[in-house]
Amino acid sequence: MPLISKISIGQFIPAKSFIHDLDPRCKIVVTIFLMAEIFIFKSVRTIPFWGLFLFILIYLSKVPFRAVLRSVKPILFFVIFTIFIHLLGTKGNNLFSMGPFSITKEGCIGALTMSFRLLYLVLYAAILTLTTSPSKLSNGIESLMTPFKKIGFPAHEVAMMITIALRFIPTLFEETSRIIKSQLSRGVNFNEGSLIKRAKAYIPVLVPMFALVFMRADILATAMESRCYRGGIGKTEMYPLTWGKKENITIIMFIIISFSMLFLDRVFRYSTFF
Amino acid sequence: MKTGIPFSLKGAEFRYPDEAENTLFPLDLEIRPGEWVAVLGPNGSGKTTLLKMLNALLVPTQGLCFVDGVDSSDLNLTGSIREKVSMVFQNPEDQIVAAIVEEDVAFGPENLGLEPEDIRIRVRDALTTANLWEKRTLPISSLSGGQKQRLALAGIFAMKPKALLLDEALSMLDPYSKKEIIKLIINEHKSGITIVQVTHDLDEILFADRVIVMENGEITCDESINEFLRRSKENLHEMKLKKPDISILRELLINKKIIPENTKSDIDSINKALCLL
Amino acid sequence: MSIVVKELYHTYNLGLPTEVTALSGVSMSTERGEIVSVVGLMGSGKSTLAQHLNGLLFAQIGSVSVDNCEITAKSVFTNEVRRKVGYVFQYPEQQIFSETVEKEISFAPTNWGVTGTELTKRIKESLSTVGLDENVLTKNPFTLSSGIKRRVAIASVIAATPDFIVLDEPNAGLDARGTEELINLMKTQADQGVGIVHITHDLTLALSISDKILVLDEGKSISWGTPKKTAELLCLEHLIKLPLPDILNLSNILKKRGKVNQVTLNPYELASMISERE
Repeated sequence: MPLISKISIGQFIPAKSFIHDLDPRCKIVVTIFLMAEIFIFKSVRTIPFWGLFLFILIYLSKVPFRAVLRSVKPILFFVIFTIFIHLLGTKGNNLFSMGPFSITKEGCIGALTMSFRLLYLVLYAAILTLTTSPSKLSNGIESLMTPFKKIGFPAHEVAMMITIALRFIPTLFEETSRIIKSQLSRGVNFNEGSLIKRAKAYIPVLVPMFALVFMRADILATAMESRCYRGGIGKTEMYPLTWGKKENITIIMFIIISFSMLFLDRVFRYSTFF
Repeated sequence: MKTGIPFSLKGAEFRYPDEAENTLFPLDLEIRPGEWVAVLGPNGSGKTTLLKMLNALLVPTQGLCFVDGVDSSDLNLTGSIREKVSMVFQNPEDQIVAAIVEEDVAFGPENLGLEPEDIRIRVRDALTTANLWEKRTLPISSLSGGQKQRLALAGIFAMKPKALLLDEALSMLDPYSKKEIIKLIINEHKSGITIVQVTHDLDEILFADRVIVMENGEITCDESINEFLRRSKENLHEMKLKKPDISILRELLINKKIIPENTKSDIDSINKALCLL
Repeated sequence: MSIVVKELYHTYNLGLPTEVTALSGVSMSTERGEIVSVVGLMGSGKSTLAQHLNGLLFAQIGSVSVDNCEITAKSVFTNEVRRKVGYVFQYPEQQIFSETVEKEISFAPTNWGVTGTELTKRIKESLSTVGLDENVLTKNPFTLSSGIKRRVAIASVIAATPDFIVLDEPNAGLDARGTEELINLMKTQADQGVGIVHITHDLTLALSISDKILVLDEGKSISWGTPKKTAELLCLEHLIKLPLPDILNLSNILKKRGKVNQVTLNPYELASMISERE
């Protein structure tokens, strides 16, 4: 197979930046809160401010803009779909009519708000994954879940599963593509026939895919044992997580910005100033 | 200074749980510290089963296996055996655990519970040895098959093993990558660690010390590499092996007394010997 | 019937930062009954070229024609390109999915409309071509050894009676006997009029069995011609990373120093040439 550097969506891009160096726990927590906040803010006029904040984040991360924007591609269709639903489905002050369809002011605002919310959601997640290597991400998740170990939650195992899953996604894609090509070569036509027939056409793809995954899991487990894997007990880290001044400043800044935005939102919502 | 460890099998047998017959019949085998042993044989001869006993992935169903003097059936000592003995598998994809190059190399040392600074030094040295330092922050998916196998080796170098087990580790690689990896193995051999290499390609083992041939779970041949390569093409063919052309040439030239008997079986050595005429 | 490749170019991820040109202006051709090898390292473009031969990929620039009909997204189906050009992938595990060997082998011919007694005949013939006994038909292919799986995979492509067969690294991981059997298979099929396109990084193997060899390096065609011409060209200047077979390499080194007067692949020949001089 050709050596294509498969830069998948949200792939880690190494760089020396403030955001890259932050403790992953800090980044994960901030990202989760950011994602939640997006849905709290009601005024459409806060959108450009969030946009500015995002722009500053991307700038601070030193990740090329194009790489970040590319992560939006998969949901673009969904966003456009949402815009349509809001534009055509909301009743209110008509701005423009054509037959049974009318576009209202409320519809425009709704479409704008919802679509940007979705975009921002994906962009925040993208910044997190672009600036945090998979193993640091999983160390961070494991560390955050550690308190739950006391009630029996397998924090380390879950983190390990995430690491391995992330590592194998490109491999699985490539392998599945090869399986599909193999079956295409044997005369399968995935585009022909009834829905049922088309679904059945995927059996020759799914069976080898699963068989290969199980075979690989078996060998991988053996290889991990050979490399002295004993679970989370006694395992250290090449880059241990360190929470320091940087992280504290980030949290404080985040709280300040959140409250400022909350304030702005109130102002926009309740003031009569357009 | 790395020194290899010895292996010792005494009457070791192995039968898989659902099988009616043994995969390995009672074997006696001694491997000396620092020896490079090639284990040859057709598929199904038991060579991989033998290899897996050397790092306690499998334990003999009868008889004993000693790794550096330690009984491999003692489950308390399995961990310490695996710290000294590392294995490289056939498919590079099946042994890489992390998504980024340097993180995968760190996996082994992290499991050993080493200090972060120590881990970072080992990772740097291992990646440099395997010629992958510049690619340390790249994702695995951007590496070629040969590079992935080098990464697997780097992960093992970082463990500083005293023995290296290779399970057909070169069979999925192209000729250029094979040559690169063989160079790395030759260097490890020079540093003194024990190497046990399972393969069916004689071109890969021209620098080994000793050859063991297996068939149907038994050792049918145990010779030094020179003795083994002196066997005729037809004789090797019967063992389902192909005599390397370079060995054939070397023998012909030695028989005609054109080059000395101790010339090694590689292009450079033969070329040098011919230059001296 | 022939396959003709003219000035083929292929770029993956066109327009994206991950853009890679896998093929630059490659041309070759093959007739039924010939064995043609496409030789190169990983990344040389040989797999990309192979996938153009049965319409898995379509020509962006240049053309690929089977039986004088250019392969396009439309003609792939109307011209039954994938029936005429069979493709055996490197690992049987990537195609085996049926519960029995019989179902596995009948998959391709059934897709092309072969049924009844003709189908049974094809299955029997393909089994004997790959040297398997009929009692393997009722077995579950997942329980078979890798050598037999590989033969089942080849049988399942032969059963569709293609005019050409593309074999992708067919001897990877095979022992010496397996490789011999593979070589016999390729030669017998060629004798029976099937065109073999052999994708490999094993230059030694290619030089010993091919009628013509295409050597690729980083997407470019380095040499296209008979084994003799290929060996001579590769010896003139070592243009590529692909290592030369040991004997060829050594004879080339000695020729340059005047110790022998021609290059060869054969160790016996080289030994006599050296001893003549001494």
